[in-house]
Amino acid sequence: MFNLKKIAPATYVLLKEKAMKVEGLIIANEKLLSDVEMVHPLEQVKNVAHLNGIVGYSIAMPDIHWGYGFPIGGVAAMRIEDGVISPGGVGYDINCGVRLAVVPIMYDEIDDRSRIKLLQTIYNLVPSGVGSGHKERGLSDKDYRDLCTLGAKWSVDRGFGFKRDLEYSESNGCIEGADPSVISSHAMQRGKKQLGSIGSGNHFVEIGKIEEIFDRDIAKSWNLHLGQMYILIHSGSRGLGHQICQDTLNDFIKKGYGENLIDRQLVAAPITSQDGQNYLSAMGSAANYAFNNRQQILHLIREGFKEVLKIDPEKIIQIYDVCHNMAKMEKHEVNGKLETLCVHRKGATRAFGPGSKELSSIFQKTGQPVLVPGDMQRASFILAGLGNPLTWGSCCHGAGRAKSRAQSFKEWKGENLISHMRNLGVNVMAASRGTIAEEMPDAYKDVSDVVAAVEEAKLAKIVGRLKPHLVVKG
Amino acid sequence: MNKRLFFAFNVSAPWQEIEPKGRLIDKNLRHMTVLFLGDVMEEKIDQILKSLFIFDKKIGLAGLFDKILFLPKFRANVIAYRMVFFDDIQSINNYRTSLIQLLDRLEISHKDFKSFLPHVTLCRRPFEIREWKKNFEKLPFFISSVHLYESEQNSNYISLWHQDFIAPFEEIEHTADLAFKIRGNNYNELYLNGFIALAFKYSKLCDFFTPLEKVDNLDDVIIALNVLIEKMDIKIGSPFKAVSFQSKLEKKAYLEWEMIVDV
Repeated sequence: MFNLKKIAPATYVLLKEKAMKVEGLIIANEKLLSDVEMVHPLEQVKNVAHLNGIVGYSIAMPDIHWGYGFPIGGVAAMRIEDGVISPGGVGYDINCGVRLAVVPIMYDEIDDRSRIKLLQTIYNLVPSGVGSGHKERGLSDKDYRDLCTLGAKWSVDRGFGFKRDLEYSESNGCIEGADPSVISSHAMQRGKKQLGSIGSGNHFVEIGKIEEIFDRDIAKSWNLHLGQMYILIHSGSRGLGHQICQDTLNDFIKKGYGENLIDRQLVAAPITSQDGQNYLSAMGSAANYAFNNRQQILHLIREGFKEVLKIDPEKIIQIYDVCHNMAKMEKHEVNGKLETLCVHRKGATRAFGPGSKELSSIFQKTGQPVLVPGDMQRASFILAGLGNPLTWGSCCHGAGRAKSRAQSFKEWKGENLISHMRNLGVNVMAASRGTIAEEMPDAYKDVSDVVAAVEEAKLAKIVGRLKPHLVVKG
Repeated sequence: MNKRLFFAFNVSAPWQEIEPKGRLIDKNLRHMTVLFLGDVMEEKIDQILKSLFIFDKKIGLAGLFDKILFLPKFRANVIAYRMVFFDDIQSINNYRTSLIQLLDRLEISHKDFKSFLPHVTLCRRPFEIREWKKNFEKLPFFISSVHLYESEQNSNYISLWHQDFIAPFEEIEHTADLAFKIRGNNYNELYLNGFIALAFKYSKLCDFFTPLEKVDNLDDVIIALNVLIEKMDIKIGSPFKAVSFQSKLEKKAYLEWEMIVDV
């Protein structure tokens, strides 16, 4: 059904058919390729290859699954002059991303009682679940304008975290070119009281132990130690990002940008058009909201550690913050020449390697950290980017679902999920039982398979494996 | 031998998992009675069965439970939820009228209520009114079938005849998001039944429902559903991000649309 040709370890080309402008590039090992759920997403990879201005390949990461227009785990770079920007190539949750921090304490040093108290305290401090937010306060118009343009610096200036956090964030926690004046009042309303909250669905806070180190040198330079306690946050731009995406899709569809496309959900405007530029400005604003969101969530977690374990917030060190739903203007080599491209990554993470000019001096020697959460029981991983030019320096973002939410919910009906997870060494709290049922570990592919394929394809190398023990689900 | 008979539409709804105390009617047997016959001789039952006709709507009608009722008013024996149908209730009234005419022709008695109040009984005495009032929230419903039931003791019912309707929505497998087949005879019904599908997943959406005046294309259906999601998210939060512009629409004897919801 799919004409795949292996060109390198865990790297396959999907040969051009019909009106595809470029070939597809599939990063996967044989085990992942044999998954029957690959059919729909690979069709989507072919569809993305029809978009105007696409350069290189239409790329699929090993955690690929069926999405809106673009598959989740899809990457596509466009030339600026004749290329398009597609909201479906970013996703509804603009700058959904992951932040990792480490605590100066060994996980095993903490007794069970303190662990439970820590989990409960963080659950109480960090709003999670449907409708979560800070009901007592909302953002003013000025707040919005400022945080959307300044990025996470806005939160740091207000005492949420430290300046160092910005240096250890992708793009220093700020996307340039954001302009909140293009955002609708509906979108502003939607995000008004949600800053500093996890949200719902597959978002989470995870605390656990660094269980295995694979590259001691990189781990040491990043301040990662075996047995150390870590904090992992997965959240995005909340209602603001969702509404910006929706407003743009409504607008683009009405203006006819979806016509004559092989899949209308790929609706996209020329990057250089006013509509394209407006979307990029709005997207940047939502991205900066998301950076602020994760900044404030980490601050609240630091407060939780201070309260329960008396650990000074400044001693909880941020390792990195990555985006996995974004379109970024980046310089890449195309046919021997350096060009600025618009790189769409939807459910895919930037993974720039050693020597990349876009990385700060801190990561010049090692390449950037790449954070890949799995499920709430087996593992999450931290990798070092290798800047593979085939994928525009991109990597996977997670495990990918193996089962639908409905299926998972049905299969776990009637079971005591909290007790089941506790027996597996994980204490989990969530606003609804339904969320836990949908997010059970077996609902996800094994992230070890995904990162193995990534390493085999030389997109990134595995630095450490993280084992979750305390989880707050959205 | 006589049997105690009534005609009723079975009702599907996302009933609350835990309901206040009372003699609860089994959730799978909850129904809207349209005509109560009382005791009917067995030989007459055969005549009824031979003469029955089908209800003329193929897709199950949908609506909202908008109010809790304690019936009868002055000394409540049952707790019920009032049903407000999206569609004009005329089709149900016509069906009732046709059944009454049939029974009159067959000289079978029946209880013709002065005014027909569509409702579903949830619970019989004893119950605590205050608890039930406090617990009530709007829920979506659709009718799944119509039956001629024989009523036995302890709220047991035996179906002697039935007609099934096509469900207005059906959840389908989708790994990352929610997906449904939504069915309707026109775009307005796609909107209403799309809303019902979402409300079955998260019933608080019922508080934000607004009918549409006129809709004649799928894009407008999708935009209208997203307006509901947006309103809900602003007010109380939403588990849905948006309904996608996925527009796989099949035209069978009715319209069938694959609705994908980003979560």
